[in-house]
Amino acid sequence: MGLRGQLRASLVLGWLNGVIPIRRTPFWVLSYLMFPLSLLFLLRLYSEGLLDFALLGGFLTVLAYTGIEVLGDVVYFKTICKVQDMFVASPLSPSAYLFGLSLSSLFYSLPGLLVLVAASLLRGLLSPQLVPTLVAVLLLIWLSFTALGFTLSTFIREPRHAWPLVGILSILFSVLPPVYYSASLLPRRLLPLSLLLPTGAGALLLQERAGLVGLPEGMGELAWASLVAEALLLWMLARHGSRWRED
Amino acid sequence: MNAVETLNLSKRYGSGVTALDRVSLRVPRGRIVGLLGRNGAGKTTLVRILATQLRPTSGRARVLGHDVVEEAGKVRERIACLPQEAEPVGFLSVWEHLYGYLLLRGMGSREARERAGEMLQVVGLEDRRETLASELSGGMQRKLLLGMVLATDAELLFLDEPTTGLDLVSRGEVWRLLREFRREGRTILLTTQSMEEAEALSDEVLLLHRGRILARGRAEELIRRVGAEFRVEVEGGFKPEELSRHGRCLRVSGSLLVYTDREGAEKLARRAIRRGIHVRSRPVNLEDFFLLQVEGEDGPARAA
Repeated sequence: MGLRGQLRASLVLGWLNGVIPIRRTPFWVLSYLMFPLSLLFLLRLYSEGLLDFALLGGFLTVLAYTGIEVLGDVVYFKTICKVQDMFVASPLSPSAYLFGLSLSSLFYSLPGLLVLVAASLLRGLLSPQLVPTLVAVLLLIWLSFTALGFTLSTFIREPRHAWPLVGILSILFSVLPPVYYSASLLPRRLLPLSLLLPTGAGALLLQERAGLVGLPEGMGELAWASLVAEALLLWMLARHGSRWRED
Repeated sequence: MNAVETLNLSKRYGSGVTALDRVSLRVPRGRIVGLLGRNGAGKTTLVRILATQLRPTSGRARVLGHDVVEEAGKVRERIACLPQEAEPVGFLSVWEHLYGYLLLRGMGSREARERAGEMLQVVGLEDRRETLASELSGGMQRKLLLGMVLATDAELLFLDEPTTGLDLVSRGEVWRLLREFRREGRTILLTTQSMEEAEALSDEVLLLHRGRILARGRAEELIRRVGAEFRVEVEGGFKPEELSRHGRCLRVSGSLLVYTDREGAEKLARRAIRRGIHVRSRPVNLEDFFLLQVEGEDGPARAA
């Protein structure tokens, strides 16, 4: 099957695993929206000024959570349904499988993103300057986290280990770095540390572009470089390091 | 060209278990080959290696002329596999499984729609088209998965215990389907625990035991190798020494099995009736070949 066929197969997988479940059970959207919406509520209680941080953090969290949820999807296909072996023994390539699952997570996150877009529009947060940065950052976050989820999934044999791991990782990636709080709260020397996580780098860029914080000179470029490098690294790791065929 | 060729194929797991031990075999095209063996004999491991799902430790395997390690992509274009214990995806409907799987394999949408529609009828799920897989019975789920695999245009099918959990009628339908598949010139490597299934379907049977091929041949040839016409099963009341003069005697799960000719079976039955002991007698079949081979390997002490 050629490249076009593989892309088509990815879209089909995205449709099967992303569009159909959400159409059938729209209620599931709440599973990944609860955390950002709760924080939105809490931060609004403390200060209206924190709402912008909460909205930007919400965008990052939704994509990070649904991206890392790929881990659960693969474990479900591989160890619960055991249909992954049917995919392996077929013309579908591992990259197309990974991309298809990533697309399904993107489709799955769309309703949540629309809610956040609507709230951001009401708030007047989505300026023409911010939108391109937001789209680019979210794209890289999506790639990074789906790849991370896919790679981790291949090392999990016991399905029950997958669900808590998704919860732990998504909280870790959205609470530790300055996703829901201002990057200016971090001591300057600790700022580069937040670049180690894609959500940290993404948050710095979004907060800076939204005019919420100022970054030291060169930090913006470094954040872009980190975000791109992490997405590439994680994607390559998923492509080559994951165990499509078992040893 | 053979559909499958292996040479000294071995698989040793990290736990130290040797699942396959220098297996060499050839499966000609257009045949149904039955892989028989006890649990843990290595059947699934062999199928998984051939279906490019598992890497062998040593040896070589070629499927449809391509090396399963070096040319896995080329192999995958032309095979389909139904894994043991696979279940359909609960949140997808019957139609979405059939149609979606064909699209995933690269089939054009019109052809996929036609094939999926035909297969719905073939596996008897046309009135369940929109039913979610999670709402199907176990047997229906198995038929759905089998339908997905059979609807493909794969030249070689790996079916790992395809009829497990099916009722007798459904099993008969599946057998009919597989025979039709073979008539189209396609090849099936079938693992099964059911001797009846292996006997009914297979052009050739491979008996795998402890990772090695213990015997191979047509079912009727293997049955002839039992060297007896009848199997008489005696539940207690006789000592093995008393029975062994009627033929070869084997103890299996608390019963004594005697392999003998017609005359021996009749004599033994009369003696048992005189003693008021329950006996069952039937012509030998593939199960008996299997038992004698495996028992001969595993436990000469158990052969009375």
